[in-house]
Amino acid sequence: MRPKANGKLKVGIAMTGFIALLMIASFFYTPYDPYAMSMDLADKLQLPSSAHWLGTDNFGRDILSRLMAGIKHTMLTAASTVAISLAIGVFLGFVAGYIGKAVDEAIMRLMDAISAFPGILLALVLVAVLKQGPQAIILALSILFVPSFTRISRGGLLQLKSADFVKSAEVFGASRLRIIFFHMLPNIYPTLLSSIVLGLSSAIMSESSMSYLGLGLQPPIPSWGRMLGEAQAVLLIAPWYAAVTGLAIVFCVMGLNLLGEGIREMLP
Amino acid sequence: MPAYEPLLEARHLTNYYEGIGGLFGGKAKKALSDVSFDIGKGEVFGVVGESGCGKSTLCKAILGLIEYEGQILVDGELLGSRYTKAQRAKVQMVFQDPNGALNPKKRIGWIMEEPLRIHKLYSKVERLKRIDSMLELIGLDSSYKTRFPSELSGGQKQRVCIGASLMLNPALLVADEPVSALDVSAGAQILNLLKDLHQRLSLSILLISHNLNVVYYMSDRIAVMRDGQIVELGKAEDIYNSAKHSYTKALLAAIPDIAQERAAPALGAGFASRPEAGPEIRAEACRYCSLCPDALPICASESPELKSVGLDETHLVRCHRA
Amino acid sequence: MSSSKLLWASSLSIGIDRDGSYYPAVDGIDFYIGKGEILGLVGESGCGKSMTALAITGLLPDGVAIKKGSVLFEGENLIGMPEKEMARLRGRAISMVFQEPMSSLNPLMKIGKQVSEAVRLHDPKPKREAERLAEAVLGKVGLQNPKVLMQCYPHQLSGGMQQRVMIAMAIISNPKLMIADEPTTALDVTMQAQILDLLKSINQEYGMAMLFISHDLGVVSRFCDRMAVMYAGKIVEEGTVSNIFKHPVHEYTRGLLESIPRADSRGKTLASVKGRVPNIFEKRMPCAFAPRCQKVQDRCLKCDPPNIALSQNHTARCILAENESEINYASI
Repeated sequence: MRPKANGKLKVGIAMTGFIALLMIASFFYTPYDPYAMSMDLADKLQLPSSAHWLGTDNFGRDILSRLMAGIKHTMLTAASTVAISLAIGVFLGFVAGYIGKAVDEAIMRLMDAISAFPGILLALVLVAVLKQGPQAIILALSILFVPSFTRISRGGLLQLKSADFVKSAEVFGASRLRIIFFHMLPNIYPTLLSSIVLGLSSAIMSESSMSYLGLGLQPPIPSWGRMLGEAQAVLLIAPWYAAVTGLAIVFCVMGLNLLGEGIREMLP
Repeated sequence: MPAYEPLLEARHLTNYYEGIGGLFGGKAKKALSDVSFDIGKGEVFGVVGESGCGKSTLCKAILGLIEYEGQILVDGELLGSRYTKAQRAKVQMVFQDPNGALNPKKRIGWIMEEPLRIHKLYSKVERLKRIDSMLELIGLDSSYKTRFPSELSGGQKQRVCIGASLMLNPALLVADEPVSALDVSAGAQILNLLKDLHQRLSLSILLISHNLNVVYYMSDRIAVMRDGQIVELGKAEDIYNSAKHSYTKALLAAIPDIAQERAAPALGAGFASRPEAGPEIRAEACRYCSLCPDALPICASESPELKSVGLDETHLVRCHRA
Repeated sequence: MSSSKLLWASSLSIGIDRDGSYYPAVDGIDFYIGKGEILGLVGESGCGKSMTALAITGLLPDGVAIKKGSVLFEGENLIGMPEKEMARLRGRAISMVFQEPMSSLNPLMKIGKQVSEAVRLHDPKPKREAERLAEAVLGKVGLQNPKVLMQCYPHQLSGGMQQRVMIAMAIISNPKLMIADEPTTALDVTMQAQILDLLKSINQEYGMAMLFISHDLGVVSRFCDRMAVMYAGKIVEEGTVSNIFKHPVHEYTRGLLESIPRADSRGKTLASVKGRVPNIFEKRMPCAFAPRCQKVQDRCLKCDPPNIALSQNHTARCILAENESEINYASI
C-alpha cells in the first residue's frame, strides 16, 4: 500500500515549489536589474507601489528583483553544503556502523565534538583563515552538518544489519558493498531524503544569519541575510524592507520544513 | 534405496555466548556444545527443540554467519571461517518470518535475480527465463516479478523466499521455522511445497522447528536438541514411536494432537507439577537431571554421552538409562 | 437455558469507518458462553477473533467501533455501558490474559507491587493484606518461592513465569469470565502444556468460564468444551469440540483440520485450503469462503448461506449443511 500524502507534504510542496519557480524565473526575468543602483534620492527607499511591488532599498534597487535573484545564491550555498555534508556523513555513518567497535567509537566521539563546537565561532575561524566568501561559509556549514547525517545513516544501518533480508543477501554471498548499496541504502533513503530537505532549510537559515553578521556572501551579490542586515539599519525609515525580507526567509524555511516533515510522516 | 552418502557433516560444533543475567545470574554459556551429525544427500533432517536449545545457533553456524569451534564439511569439503562464494551457493536458507526476509523496496523479480547477479551467472535473458520457471515451480506465475513484497500474502512471500534461495541450485536448504510465522492453511501449503521440491530436485533439507509434528511430517531423521546438546537422534519413526530420552517423551506428550482422543495422555503429562528450571547444578551433571522424572543418582554426578541404542546403530540417546 | 448463559453475544457487528465506507471486521456473530464453560474461538489471522474479545472488554482500538448487536453478561448489556462501570467489571468479573506477557507487565515495577496493586484497585484493603493475598495467589499459579519472586522485576522472569504472573493477576479477584487471547502462542510447547494445565485446573476449581482465542486447533481440541470457528468476520461453524472434531461440516473447518501435520499424516500430502483470507477492505461474496471452497456452487455466490443446526450442539453456516441431516456422532 502506498502511504497517503499528508497535509504538511502538500503545503510544503506548494510553498517550496513557489520559491523554486521564482528562482527559475529569476534566470530569465526580474522586474528590474537587481544590481542597478540609483544616485537619485527619490529612487531610494520607496514604499511598495505598482512600479516597485516591494519597494526599493537604500541604493534604489528593486527589492523584489533582489529577493528573486538572491534565491539562487542562497540555494546554491545551501545545496552545496548539504551535498558535501551528506556525502561525508553517509560515508562516515556507514563505516562506523559496519566496522563498529573502536572505529565506531572514534567517529561518533568526533561527531559529538563537532556538535558541541559553536557554529558561528567555527565560521569566524574559517573566514579568518580562508578568504571571505561562499567557499568559507560552505565549508563551515558542511562541517557543522556532517554529524546529523552520520548519525542518521549509522542508525539506519544498525537497524537494518539485523534484518532478515540483509542476512539473506549475506547467505547468497553478496559482498559488503553490495549489501550496503543495493540492500540497505534503498531502505535508508526515505529517512535521508527528509533529513536532506530539513538540512536545506537549516542551511538557508545559517547562511542568512552568517550573511547578516557580514560573514557570508559579499556585496553586491544579493543575499537574503545581508539584505536583512541592511534593512535593519533603515528599520525606522523603511520598516517594510525588513518585513518583506524577513518574511521571505520565513516562507522559504517553513516550506522546506513542512516538506521535510511531510516526507518523514509519510514513512511507514 | 540408494546408498547413504553424507552431504553435510558437522563435527563437534561448539559455540559460546555471553550469559545474560537472569534470575539466578548468568555466565558464559555454551549455545552449542559438541554437536555432531550428518545429513545425507536427498535427506530431510529435522532438528526439534524449544527456544534456547541452540537450534538457531546451529543453523547460523552451518550458514557461516557466526564463528564456531569444530568442523563443517559439505560434500567432503571443509568449510573455513569465511565461506567462498561457491561454498555459499551450496547451502541456502529460508527464514522464519517472510515479512522481514524480503527487501521491502525491491520487486520480486529483482529479489529472485539477486543471487544470480551476485554469482555472475547466466545472461540477462537466461536469468529472466530461470526466474519464470522458478516462479512456476513455487506455485506463482511470471506476473509476480513486477510486484513488491508488500503486495503479497505471507504464504506467497514465503514461496518467494524459497524460490530465491533455490535460484543457485543449492544442495542443502536450511529452513528455520519456515511455517511458524504463517497461518495454518498457508503453513500447510509451504510444507507441501517443500516436500514437493525435496522430491523433484532431490534437495536435502535441514528443517528446524519447535513443532515435533511438523518435523515428523517432513523428516527422514530427527535430532532432538536441548540446552545446546543433541539429546536424541534417530529415524523419525523411532523418535516418534519409541522415544528413549525423557525430554523427547515430554515434548511428545506436550504437543496437543488432534488425531489423539481427547482423554488420552493428560496435557503435558507429568510435566505440569514440576517447578520452573531451577538453579544450575553441577557442570558435570546431566543437563536434564533436575527435570527428569527417571533420574538416577549417577545423573547428578556424571554427564551422559550420546550412545546408540538398538541394533542398527541409527538411534542415539544421551541418557544413562538408555 | 438462558439462565445458564454467562455471556451472550447476539448479532454483534464491529467495523471500521473509513473514507465514508464501512468495513466490517466482525459481521453479526452470535455465541454464548455457559457458566464455567470454556469456549474456543478459532480462526486464522484477520478473521475477527481478537476484535470480538476487545469488544467484550470495551477495549477496541481507535477507529474501530461496534456497529450493532448486544453482549449480555449476567443479563447486563456490556455494549454502551459507561466506561466507569465497564472498568469496574473488567477487573472484577471479567479478566484478561494476552499473548505477550512482557508487554502487559510494567517493566519498572516489582512483581509483588504489580500483583498487589491489582488487588487494591478493585478491593481497597490494607497494603499488607493485599501483599499476603498476592503471595498466596502467586503460589497457587505454580510459582515457586513467591516471596522471592515478589521482589523481582518482570525481565528477570522467563516467559512462562511471566505468563503465570499475568494469570495470577487475572484470577486474583475471582472473576466469572476470563478472556484469554492466544495466551500460550508465545511460549514453548512444554511451557504451553503447563500453562494450559494450570488454566484448566483454575477453570475446574473455581468454575471460571473462559473465552479462549487461538489459532491452534490442537490446543483447542484438548482444552475447550465448545468451539466457534470464525472466517472473515463470521462464525462459520459452532458446536461442542467433540462434535466438530468428529464431524466437521463447513469446508473451512475441514480444511483447517486437514492442514495441520499430525501423527498420522506422515507420508501424505497435507490438504490445505487454497488461497488466502480476504482482508477487511476487500469486497466479499455472500459466502466469504466461496472463492476458496472446493465444493462451491452457484447458489453460494448469490445468497447468504443459512446457519443450519445439525444437532443441538452443532451448527454450520453453509448451504451444503442442509444435506447433512441426522449425524450420528457416536458412529464416527
